Amino acid sequence: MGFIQLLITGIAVGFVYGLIAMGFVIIYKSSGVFNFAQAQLVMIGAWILWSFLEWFHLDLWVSLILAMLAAALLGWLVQRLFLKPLMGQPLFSLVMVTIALSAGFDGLTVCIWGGPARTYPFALAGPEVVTLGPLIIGTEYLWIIGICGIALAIFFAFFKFTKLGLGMRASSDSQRIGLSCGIPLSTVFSWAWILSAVLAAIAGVFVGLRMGLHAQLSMIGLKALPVVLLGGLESMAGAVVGGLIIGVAEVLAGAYLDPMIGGGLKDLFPFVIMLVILFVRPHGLFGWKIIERV
Amino acid sequence: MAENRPSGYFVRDYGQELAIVNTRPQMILLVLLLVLLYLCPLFLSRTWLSWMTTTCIFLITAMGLNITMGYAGQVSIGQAAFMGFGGFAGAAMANRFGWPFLACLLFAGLMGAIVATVFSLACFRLKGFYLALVTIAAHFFLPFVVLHLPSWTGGVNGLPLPIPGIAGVLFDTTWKWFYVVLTVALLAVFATKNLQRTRIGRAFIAIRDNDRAASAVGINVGLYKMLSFFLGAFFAGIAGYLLASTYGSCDLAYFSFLDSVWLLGMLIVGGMGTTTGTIFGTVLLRLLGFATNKLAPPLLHALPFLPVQVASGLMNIVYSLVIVLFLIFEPRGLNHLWERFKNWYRYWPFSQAA
Repeated sequence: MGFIQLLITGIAVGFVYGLIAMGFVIIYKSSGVFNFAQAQLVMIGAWILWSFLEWFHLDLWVSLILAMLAAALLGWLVQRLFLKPLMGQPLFSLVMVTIALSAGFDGLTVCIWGGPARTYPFALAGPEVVTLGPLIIGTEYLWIIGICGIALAIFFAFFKFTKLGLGMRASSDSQRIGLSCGIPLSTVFSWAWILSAVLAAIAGVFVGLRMGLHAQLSMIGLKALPVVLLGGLESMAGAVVGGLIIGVAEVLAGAYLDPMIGGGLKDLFPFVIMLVILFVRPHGLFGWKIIERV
Repeated sequence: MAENRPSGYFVRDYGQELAIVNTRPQMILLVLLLVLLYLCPLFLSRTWLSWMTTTCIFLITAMGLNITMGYAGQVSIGQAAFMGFGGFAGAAMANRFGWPFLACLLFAGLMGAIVATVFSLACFRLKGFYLALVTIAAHFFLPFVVLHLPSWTGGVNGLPLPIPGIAGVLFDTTWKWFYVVLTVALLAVFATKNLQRTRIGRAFIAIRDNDRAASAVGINVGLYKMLSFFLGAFFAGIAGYLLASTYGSCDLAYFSFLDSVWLLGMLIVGGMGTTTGTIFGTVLLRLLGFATNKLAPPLLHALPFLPVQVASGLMNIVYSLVIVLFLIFEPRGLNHLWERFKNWYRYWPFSQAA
């Protein structure tokens, strides 16, 4: 029974990782950039919502919508200001920019919201629980699973059925061919950043709800890296599956292995999985086998 | 742009081509610079002397990263973690077995190098940013190891270190310690510069420029990539122990993920793969750090609603902006500006034509 409850917690955690990882995959697929700043987008998204709620005392739903818009704006700005000038440059420069940005966003967060840790003035659900036979499940987890599931479904539908989504998939296959078919690459890149920032903000809200808001929240977002590698860098479905696996593995490791070795393994475990994956199957579960062996 | 040599200097053999110092004036200037550096304690205040000490320590690490990333082209975002592994290893030996300073220093370097080598085992299978991700993982392993071996590493409280000394001479004042660190830093710079001219260094550069071509001319790419991590992290380990000795204790807080990013930044700002550039980059970023630290208290005074940690936040923002601006506008770094300046005065008064 304890095991199944842990499993549900793990799935909830995993869906959140899946959201973060999917944002990462969207950018990687469309422009080939490893976005190291994804974790910071998660953190800033979480804080933006808090600011709308606490500084401007807006209604929850209004704040949510405004926060998503603000996150979208942030994503667009990052692409427009820092990445667009580097289009056509070696990938190395682009990735370095995201690394530098990740540190800069950390600094920005400290400067703006650096005070004490905060919590959202609302909760997903009260202390009430759902009893399913012998299982007692916090409604919070059901909410997380439900909302993340819907968000993921919307994004899948977007990529499957809209023209822009098709264009993004095409340009990820080959930027050059996409461009010659008339797909506006810079629009595609802008949208990739916008979508990924929005996904990050949604994930950020959940992370903030579960762990509270503080200026080191990005360390949690960094765990999306193992998720992406496990799922395969090119696969959006992989991001979700990878997220679920890492989430469940992390929670189980925290519950069963941590007491044995004295704690701390929970945060390390995703990276252990990442190392194993990188050694054994570098292209991940669903990724393309184009990683060169040297 | 081909490398420009001083006017009237003609290369007649390969030895001359490889020489670091070409002419007598260059030699004189170099010696003067060294003398000036060693005279620093005479005219620098205590604050600036300790600033110089820490800068020298970061220079050592940056030189190591320059080997891994500048020469061999392997992105490493774990340099600060390797510093930490080295620092804690040396500190543990000093604390537990009372090893002398030099032995601890070498052991720290060696441990840093060994840990990096273990992480770089993935070299044989991976390249590019996949490898960078492996080095990021080092930053999650460091606290795990440190916190789980509290009897060796002191855990959360860190490990106090004895005052370092060699053969009975204790480095108990700022200027004595500065001499030690400066000497090690100069050795590191010299070793890095020289490495470029050895078989190993040329193999690194071949791998960076084209790994397949390198493998075609018979370079064992995986092995050399691993070697580049080993050498780079050796410097990191030494720097880690020096840093811990400077503060008098070895603490996890000195070896954060951000430090690794700033080390990357130092290379980018300076110009990757060049020793001069690495020096420029390290000094510039450290100066900026100093300036923001000075700027933060008045800023906090003027805008009291800002949180107290604004100093570190501001530093992050300034550093990352500088790095991004360099990437966008001068990707070859300060070293390139320096080369252009040298060309400008060599061609003077015909600089425009050049």
